[in-house]
Amino acid sequence: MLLPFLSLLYYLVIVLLTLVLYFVVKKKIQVVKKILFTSMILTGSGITILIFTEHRLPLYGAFEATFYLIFILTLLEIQFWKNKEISIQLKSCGGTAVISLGLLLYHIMQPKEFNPDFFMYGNPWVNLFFNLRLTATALFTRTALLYQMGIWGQNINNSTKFNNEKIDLTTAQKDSLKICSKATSRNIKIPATSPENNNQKICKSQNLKQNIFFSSARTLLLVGLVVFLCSEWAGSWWCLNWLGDSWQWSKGFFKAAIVFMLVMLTCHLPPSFARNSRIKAMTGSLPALFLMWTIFYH
Amino acid sequence: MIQRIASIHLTFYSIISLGVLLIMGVVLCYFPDHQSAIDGLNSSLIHHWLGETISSNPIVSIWVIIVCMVSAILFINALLCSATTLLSAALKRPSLKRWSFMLMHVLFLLVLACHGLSLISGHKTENIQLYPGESHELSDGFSLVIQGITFVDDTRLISMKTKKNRHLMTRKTFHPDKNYASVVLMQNQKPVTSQKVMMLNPLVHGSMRITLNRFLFENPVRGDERDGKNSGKKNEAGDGIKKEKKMGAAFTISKNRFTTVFFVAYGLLISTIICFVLTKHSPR
Repeated sequence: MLLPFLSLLYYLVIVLLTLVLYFVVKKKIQVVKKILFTSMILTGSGITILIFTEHRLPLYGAFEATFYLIFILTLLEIQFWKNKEISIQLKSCGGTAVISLGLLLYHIMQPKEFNPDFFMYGNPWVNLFFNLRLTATALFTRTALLYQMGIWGQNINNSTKFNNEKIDLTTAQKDSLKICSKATSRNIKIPATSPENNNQKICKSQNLKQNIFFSSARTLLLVGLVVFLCSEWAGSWWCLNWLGDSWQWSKGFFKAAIVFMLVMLTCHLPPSFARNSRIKAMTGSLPALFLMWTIFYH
Repeated sequence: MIQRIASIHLTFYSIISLGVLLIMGVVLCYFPDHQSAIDGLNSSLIHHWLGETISSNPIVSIWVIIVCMVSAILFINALLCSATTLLSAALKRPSLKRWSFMLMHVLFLLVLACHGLSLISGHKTENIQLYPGESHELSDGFSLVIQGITFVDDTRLISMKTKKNRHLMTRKTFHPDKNYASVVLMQNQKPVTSQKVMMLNPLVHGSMRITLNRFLFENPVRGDERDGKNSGKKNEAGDGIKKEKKMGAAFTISKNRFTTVFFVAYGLLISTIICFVLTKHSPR
């Protein structure tokens, strides 16, 4: 009886997220916000149904994990809107919609049902272990998204700058540009209206945007680490009561240690690497990618 | 020299190396031979395990040795970094942010040390199969006596293969709080404590834990063999021929003095990271 309703919910969220992408392109931020909020309510209602019918928190299992991840991602997105420019909000909403749609479409062929029951799901530590790990995955995914949006802005800036320069050079400003470049090489003050000065302003504003994304990503990475460690703490306690030891030499434990190592890698980049925003963004995205693999390959 | 060992470059490359080694570990687990060799580490101390495995499975043995060596390098690096850079920074300009940053590294060291010490101390014996009336001798004069097994659910769940019963053992069909083994822990023939040991609810006495892993039926062949050869286990009930299937339980008996320290340090580590996140107002 629940299956058709869950399928309906699933396809409704797909439609809504597609609409989010459409309105992001149209730059209608208020509509985007409303649709994204509705998606959060729908995925949240899916989670509520799960809690009431299955008497447990969302755990591993393609359908419920996807719904829970989208719920947390949209929740974090709404939290991110505060005091941000419209262009940043649009970019962030677009990113969240793309990831969420990707997750939903990846599972389109799988049954839209909750994970089969298991007697251990009655144990609070089991619930905490799986659910907190899912929450950590959502937080790391958001971190990865923020890092990627940070460098994506830089790429757009570079390409826009390149196109502007090309247009400028083909017009009458070509000569004045030459004069300006000579002036800068001789340390002569360039007039405020020169193209270089405008580019510097664009560059500064892009760096500021990147700082906003990177700063939020760094904080979220640490929050994700806290949640992930809480999950591991609960998992170790479960393992101690089930198998008699808090650590096992097995692939499940190795995978958990790899996630910790990947977060540590991002936090311990040598200064030469840390200055490179691409390396920072790449390492910051690895925990999310790896955790996604462990959850959906599971 | 100390500056070099405490440098962030060494931290970075140690983390990368450990990450690569762990990925190798995951890959090794996909090979049944290597998987069983790695499993052996769960029930024996590392030096005993190495003595047995180095000749039978050198790949896994070398992998474990390198993992331990890289972990030791990371430990020394974090220790020196905490003692030189982080502590001096916290002392020079004390703030909650700096102290929490320093403490989180110290607590990480403590967690890592607990992991390392549990590899070389204590003991763990897995899959001890016991049936009502039987006892198992432990170290320090302790012995475990099984008084009885109570299983109220469908016994077919026990005879099925693990993969099949995983889907059938739901919360409606299997009740971990109603199925238990009544055990008595004895020391020098005197009872120390008794408890109903359930799945996920072990008997804890000091640093010793008696954990019930699963319920099982006695294999008739095994029963015959035991009656014939009279293996190390005593049969207090003095039963005769056991042709019928008898229900028992598989236990893990472990002793680790660092378990409590590990969980407390782990909890404190999480608290210090929370403290650091809360005090981290401005972007670096």
